[in-house]
Amino acid sequence: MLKYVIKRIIALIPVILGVTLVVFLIMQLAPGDPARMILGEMATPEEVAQLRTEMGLDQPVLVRYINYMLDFCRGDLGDSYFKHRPVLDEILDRFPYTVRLAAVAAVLTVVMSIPIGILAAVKQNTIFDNASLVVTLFGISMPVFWLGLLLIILFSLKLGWFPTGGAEGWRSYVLPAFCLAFSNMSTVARTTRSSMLETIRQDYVRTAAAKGVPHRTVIARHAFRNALIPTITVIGIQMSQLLGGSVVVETVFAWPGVGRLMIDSINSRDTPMVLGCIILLTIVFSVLNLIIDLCYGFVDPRIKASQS
Amino acid sequence: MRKPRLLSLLLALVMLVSLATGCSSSPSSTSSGNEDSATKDTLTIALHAEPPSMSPVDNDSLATIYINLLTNNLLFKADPETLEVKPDLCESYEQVSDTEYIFKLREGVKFHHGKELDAEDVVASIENAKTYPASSPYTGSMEKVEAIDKYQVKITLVEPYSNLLYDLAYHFNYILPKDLLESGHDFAAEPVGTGPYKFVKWDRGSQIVLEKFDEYWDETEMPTIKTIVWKLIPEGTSRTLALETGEVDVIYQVETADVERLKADSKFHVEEKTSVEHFYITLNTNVAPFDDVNLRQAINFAIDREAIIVGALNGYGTPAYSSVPMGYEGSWEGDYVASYNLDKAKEYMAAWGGDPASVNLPILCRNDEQVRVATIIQDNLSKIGINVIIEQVDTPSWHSRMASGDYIGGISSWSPSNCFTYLVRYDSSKAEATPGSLVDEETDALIDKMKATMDPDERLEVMHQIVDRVNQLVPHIPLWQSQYFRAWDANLEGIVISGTGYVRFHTAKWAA
Repeated sequence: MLKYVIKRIIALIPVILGVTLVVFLIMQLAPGDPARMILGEMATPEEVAQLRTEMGLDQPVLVRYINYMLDFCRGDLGDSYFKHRPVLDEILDRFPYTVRLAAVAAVLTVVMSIPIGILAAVKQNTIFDNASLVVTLFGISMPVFWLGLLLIILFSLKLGWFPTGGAEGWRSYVLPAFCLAFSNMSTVARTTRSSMLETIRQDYVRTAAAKGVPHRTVIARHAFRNALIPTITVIGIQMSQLLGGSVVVETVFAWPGVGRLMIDSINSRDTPMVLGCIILLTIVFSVLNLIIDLCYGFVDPRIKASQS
Repeated sequence: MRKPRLLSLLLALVMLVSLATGCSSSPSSTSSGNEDSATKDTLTIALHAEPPSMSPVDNDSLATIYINLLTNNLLFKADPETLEVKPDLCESYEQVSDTEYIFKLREGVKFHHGKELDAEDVVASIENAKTYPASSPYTGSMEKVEAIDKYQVKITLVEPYSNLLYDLAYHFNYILPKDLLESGHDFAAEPVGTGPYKFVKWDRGSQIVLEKFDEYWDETEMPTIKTIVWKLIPEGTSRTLALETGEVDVIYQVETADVERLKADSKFHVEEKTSVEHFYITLNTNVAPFDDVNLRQAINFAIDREAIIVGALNGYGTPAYSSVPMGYEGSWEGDYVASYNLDKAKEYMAAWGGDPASVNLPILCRNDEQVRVATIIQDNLSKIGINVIIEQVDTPSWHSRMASGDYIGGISSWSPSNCFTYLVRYDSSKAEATPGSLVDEETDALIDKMKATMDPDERLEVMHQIVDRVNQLVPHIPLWQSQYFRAWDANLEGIVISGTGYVRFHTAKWAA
């Protein structure tokens, strides 16, 4: 198992190299000069050239990339062109907020969606199944931006229960986390339902029921555990997306996460900040994928054997 | 039958929620909203964008300027009503020759870290500003800055230059303490100045906290509010909702869709100000046929600014007809401005003499609002046979194409702090750098005269002559001046907003 984990961590190195190279090149190819963005429309070409030299932008792309990667190996992600501070400091200031919101949203997603998915499968074609279908479709279709504003109007403006935004105290987590969870819940619930439907029709489930095993035990132990693999995959993907930051929710609820930081940095052509965020995302995706793969092993011992 | 019934129930539920959000009457207040204004000693302001840095010299961001207005002082400051400059840290000044000024500083002014302001701080601050390329329009005129004694500074200019005091009132020339400049203090993270508020903390992406500086030098404008919190709320509707719930007391950049709602509520005051932010079409006058002044005038007369404001800007804005925005000392329309007149436009088209069908005018737009404006211009210009092509690009691409000359037309805007700076852009020496600039010897001569004319009345006359000349040549087509909206709790008094959009918060106080 340990060997497997080490192998996966080593495999992360070429992934980071590849991703940074591609992003670096894309940022160079994208129209727009950071020096011009800083100095504005009225700056003279000489002033722009001087600033480009100060920022090291006059060097060839490859030289800059190699220098960047050498610094990266020393743990230095460079300084932001616009924020005039180390990229790592800015990310470390923002990422904890993203992690906390993602964690709350993930817990809410799981708590809301898995029971709905199981019950919808067990009570297929009943009123509960149909109601869950409508609610989940609503969750998938409703723009997060609109849902967020509706939640603020109802729970902040009219009822005064939660703040409209910010990240101070537990109350400020409720609305953005619910907003994220409500749209994610739909996918997880639908996946759980289909997976459960497939599993509960299996012979071994029927056999367990025929042997007189209580219905709840059949569902929880025999069916649900085997139906979990697709659900874990979907939750893993959603967790990766949440940890990458949700730009819309962060914007509506003024949440100081990394999602908005990355989009603002792309819009201002702040290459070091974009690269820092992308490296963080790459690591987050890879680590989460590894955790999900390990989870498969715990859920299904046959997969554990193949990993070993 | 079961499914339709279920669907109806759910739809009814959704409608109930919508009704609850839309029709409930009295909003409950959270946190600060319940606080009695008489006992309140905090002012919370919603800001639309986070400052990239707190340093006054390493960026030109409005968000940074808003913070620095509270933490720092300049030798001169712009009057918020008239935009004219008046002394700030400078007590008096004397012009000893065409190129030499002596400034006498106020005595007993303290920086936030306790040091007293002296002439060496002024020298160090301006020398420091000069090392930043972005500051050059505001520091380039100064050849030498030297301390005569503890409270007197002499500035020697490169050549006679009448706009020095305005340059000294611009944020690049904020006065910083010499000892901290020399020790490498990180002003980008922690501003230190002589302003009415001192920096407390900056939670990145979230809020900036300032606290009243008890040793502030200007007793006539001593703040009464102890703490100012700047909350970052990027989304416009969320800012309005935060004001309505009482979580913030002031909002910058009120969404135009929310203006009427806030105006109708007696709990809030909405301040509306015609800004000096001037929107115009930059034309590439190096490219035929736009090098022809008759064609440019035809476009100028064919555009219906009123229709743009009503159709594209929700009715908020002021038509702009001159090559310089109204609102500055020196602003001028004169006899050569063009209002919407199709007959005149057709006369100019005839004077140009080319085939209208051959004229394609691509207009670069940076956002949806500009696309809406360009769509109206497209319709206007079709009436004189000109084909407008609308191109929407992101801001970095827009800058890149404008700077490299890879454009024919583009919607631009500019709002410098004074008329002089605006007019200098029409100097031929700026033509290569500044999109939509002009190469005209007569304009150059007038600009040189304006720079060298020290008498304010004479200089004003020269400014008007420049505007008249540029209005005849129309290197760019003026469109509109934007309307700024700021809203705040009606219990707040003493907030002053200027035409450049800056707000003076240190004079704010809660009504008793």
